[in-house]
Amino acid sequence: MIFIKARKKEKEILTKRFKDLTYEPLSNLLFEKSLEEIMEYSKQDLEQFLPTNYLSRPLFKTVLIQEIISLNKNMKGDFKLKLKLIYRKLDLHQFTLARLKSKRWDEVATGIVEINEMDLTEALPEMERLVSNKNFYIRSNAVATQLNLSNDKNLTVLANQKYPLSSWQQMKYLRIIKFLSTQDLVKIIYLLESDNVSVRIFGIRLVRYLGRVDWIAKLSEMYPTASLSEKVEILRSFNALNAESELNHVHNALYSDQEELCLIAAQTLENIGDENSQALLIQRLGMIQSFVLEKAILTSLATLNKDVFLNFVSTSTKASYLKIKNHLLDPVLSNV
Amino acid sequence: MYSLLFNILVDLLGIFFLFYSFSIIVFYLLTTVLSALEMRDHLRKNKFADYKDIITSPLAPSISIIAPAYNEASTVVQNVKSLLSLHYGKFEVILVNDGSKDDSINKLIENFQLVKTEYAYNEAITAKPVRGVYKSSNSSYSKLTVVDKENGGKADALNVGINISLNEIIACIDVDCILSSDSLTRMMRPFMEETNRQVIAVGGVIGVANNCDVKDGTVTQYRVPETLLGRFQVIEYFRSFLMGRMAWTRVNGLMLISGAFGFFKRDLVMKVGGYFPKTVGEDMELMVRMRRYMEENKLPYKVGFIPDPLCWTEVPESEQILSRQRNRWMRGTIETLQLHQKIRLNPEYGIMGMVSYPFWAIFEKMAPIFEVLGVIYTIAMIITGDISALYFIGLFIVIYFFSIMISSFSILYEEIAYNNYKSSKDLNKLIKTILIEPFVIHPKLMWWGLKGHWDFIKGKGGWGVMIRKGFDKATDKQKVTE
Repeated sequence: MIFIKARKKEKEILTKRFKDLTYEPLSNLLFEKSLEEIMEYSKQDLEQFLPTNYLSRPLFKTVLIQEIISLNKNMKGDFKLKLKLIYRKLDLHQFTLARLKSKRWDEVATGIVEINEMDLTEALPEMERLVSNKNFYIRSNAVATQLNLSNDKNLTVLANQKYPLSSWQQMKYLRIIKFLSTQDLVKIIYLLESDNVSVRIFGIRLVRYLGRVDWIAKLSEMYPTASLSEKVEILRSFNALNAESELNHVHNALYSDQEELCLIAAQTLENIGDENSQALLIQRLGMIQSFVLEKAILTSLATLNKDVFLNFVSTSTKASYLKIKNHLLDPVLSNV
Repeated sequence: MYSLLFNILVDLLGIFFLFYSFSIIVFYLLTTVLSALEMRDHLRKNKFADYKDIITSPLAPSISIIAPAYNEASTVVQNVKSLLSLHYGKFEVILVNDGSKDDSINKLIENFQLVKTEYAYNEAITAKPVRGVYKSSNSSYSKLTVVDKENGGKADALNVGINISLNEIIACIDVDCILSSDSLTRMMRPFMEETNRQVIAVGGVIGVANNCDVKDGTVTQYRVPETLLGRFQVIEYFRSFLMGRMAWTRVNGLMLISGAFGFFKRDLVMKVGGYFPKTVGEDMELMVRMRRYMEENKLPYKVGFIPDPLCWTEVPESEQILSRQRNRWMRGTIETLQLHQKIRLNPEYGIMGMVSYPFWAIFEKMAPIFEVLGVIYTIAMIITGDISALYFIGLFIVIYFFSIMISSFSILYEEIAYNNYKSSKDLNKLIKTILIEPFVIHPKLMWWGLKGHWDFIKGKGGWGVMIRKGFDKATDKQKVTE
C-alpha cells in the first residue's frame, strides 16, 4: 500500500512540477512573440524555451500537451494559431499520433481527443477506421473528431453508424453540430434516412434543437411508418416548431392505444391545437381512465379555450375532473 | 453407536466449515479483483466525461429528488436549501414531511414562503393520506414542492413523493445527507451512456461525514471519526461500496442500492408499484423487484454504480443506535430474500438468481449463524482434544491476516482513486482499526445480526404472512393493499 501510495504521490508531484515548468515558457511564447516569429522558429529554437532535460520524458510531453490544449480551449484568434504551431513544431503531434497505436483503450481515446483539440486533419483516415470501434469511448471520440474536422455537412459519419447512439453521445455530437450549423446549414436528411433507429431519432431531435422548420414536411412523411419512439420524437418536434400544418398526425396520435403517444399528442395540442382539437380532446376524455392522460388533456383544453374547459368540467360529475380543474385554476400551480 | 454418530456429525460439520471458509475466501478474492478492474475502468472513463455539458443539455434526463423527513425541524430548512442549490438544469425537489411531530412543516412554510395548493394528487401507488401539497409563492423556490402527509414510514413517504414526481429519473435521498454540487450530473452519466441496455437504477457511495469539515454542501476536509465505531464504519463503507458494490456492478449483479442515495427510472418504479412499506429493507427490496421485472419481461438492463464521493452522512457512533441499525439491516435482508425466494437458484433470473441471491443468503443472511456455530464447534473440538493447537493457531492466523488484507485493499482503493484521507495520522488510525476490528467489533456485529434473526422470527416490524409467502411476480406488490 505504501509503495503504491508513494508512486502515486511521486507522479502527482512530478505532474505539478512539470505544469509549473511549462507555464512560463508558454506564456512567454504566447504573449511576447508574434505568430510570424514563432513560424520562423525551428524545433530547436522552441526547445530552448523549455527545460530541455525533461523534453524526452513522456510525462512531460503529456503535461505540455494538456497545458496547450487547456489554453487552446480558453483562447481565441492568433493565440489558438500560436498554440497549434508550437504543438506541431515541437513534434508533439507525433506523440499524439503514436497514442493511437496503444493497446490501452484510454490511451487511444486520449490521442483522439488531442487530435480533435489540435485539429490534426492528417489523422482523419485513421479516424474513419476508429468510428466503428467496439469500444464506446474510442468510437464516440472518433465520431466527434470526424464531425469536427471533416467539415462534412452531410453528417455521413453519423448516418453510417452501426452502433446505437446513446444520449451521452448525442449530447456530445449536438454541441459540435450546433457549432457547424452556425457556419452553414447541416443536412439532416441522411440521419433521417439512416438504417440505425437511434440515428434517425437523433436526426428528428436535431430538427427540433436546431429549429429547422424546413424539415417538418420530411418528418410528416416519416410519421406513418415510424416506430413508437420516433413518433414520440416527431410529435415533440412538431410541438417545439409550432407545426400547425401537422394537426392530422397529432389528432391521430391522440387516439393511439399507446399512452405515451397520446400524452405527447395532448401536450402538443396545447400549443398548436384548433377548434376541432377541442372537440377531439373532449371526445377522447370519455374513452380513458388514466389520471395522467386526463390531466394532460384537460390542461390542453384549458389552454386552448378556457370557457369550453370550464363548461365541460362544470357539467361533469367525475371527481378527478374536479380535482384537475382546481389544480389548473390555482395560480400558484400555473407551471406545475 | 452414539460415538460413531457423533464422529460422523463432527466430520460433516468440519467439512461444512472448511467448505464455507474456503468459499468466503474465494468470493472475497474475486471481489477484490473484480472491484479493482471496475475501479480502474471507472477512473479511465472519468477522464473522458465532460460533466458541464449535462447541466444545460436538452438531452439530459430530468430528475425528481425525493427526500422524506421525519422530525428534522432543526436541520430541514438548511438541507432543502442545499438540495435546491445543486448544479443541474432540469430537476425538482420534493420534500415529504412524514407526519413529523415537531414543527418541520411550519419552519418550511415560513422559510420558503409556502402556500397550500389545490394540487391534483394522484395516488398511483397506495400510501397514507396526504394532508396538503405546498408550493412557494416566491419564484426562486419554484423547484420545491413540500408534501405534508400522515406518518407511514420512510417507504410510504417515498411512495407519496413518487406519486407527486413529474420527471424521468427519481433520486431517493435521506434529507440529512450532504450532496456534492455535481452529484446529479455524475449520477446521470450511466443513464445516458448505455447503448444496448436500459439502465434502471444507479447507486452511489455514501461517505462518513463525522468529524469532517463541510462547506457549501461539500466535505472540504476529511478526518476519520474520533470513536472506534465511527472509524470502523469508514472502513466498512470502503469495503462495502468501493469493493463489494463495484464488484457486483462488474458482473451486473448489484442487488442493493442504498436508500440514502439512489437514482431510479421512474416509469419502472411505477410499473412495479413503488416501495414496499411493510419491510424494513425497502431499498434492497425495490431493487430486487425492479430487476425481477426486467428479467421476467426479458428486457436487457443494467444497474449502475458510481464510486465517486458525492454523498456524505453522519454515521451512528453509539453502540445502541448502531445495534438497532444492524438489526434492521439484517431483518431487511431476510425479508427481501424471503419475499423473492422464487428467484433463488432460478436460472430464469440470470446472475441475480444464480449468484447474487445465493451470495446474500449464505454470506450475509446466514453469516452470523454459521460464525457462531463455527465458534461453538471449535471450542468443542478444543475441549475434546480433536483439534491440534498448532492447526488451530495456524488457521486462526491465516484467517486473521486474510481479513486484514481485504480491509487494507479497500483502504488502498480509496487512496488510489480519491485519496480523501490525506493525513498519515488518519491512515494510521484506520490501519489500527483494521487490526483490532476482528476482535472488538466483528463479534458485536454478529451478535446484532443474530438478534435481527430472532426479531424476524418474532415478526417484529414486518408483515409476517405476506413476507413468508413472497411475491410470485415482480408486479405482485401492486395487488397488496393495507
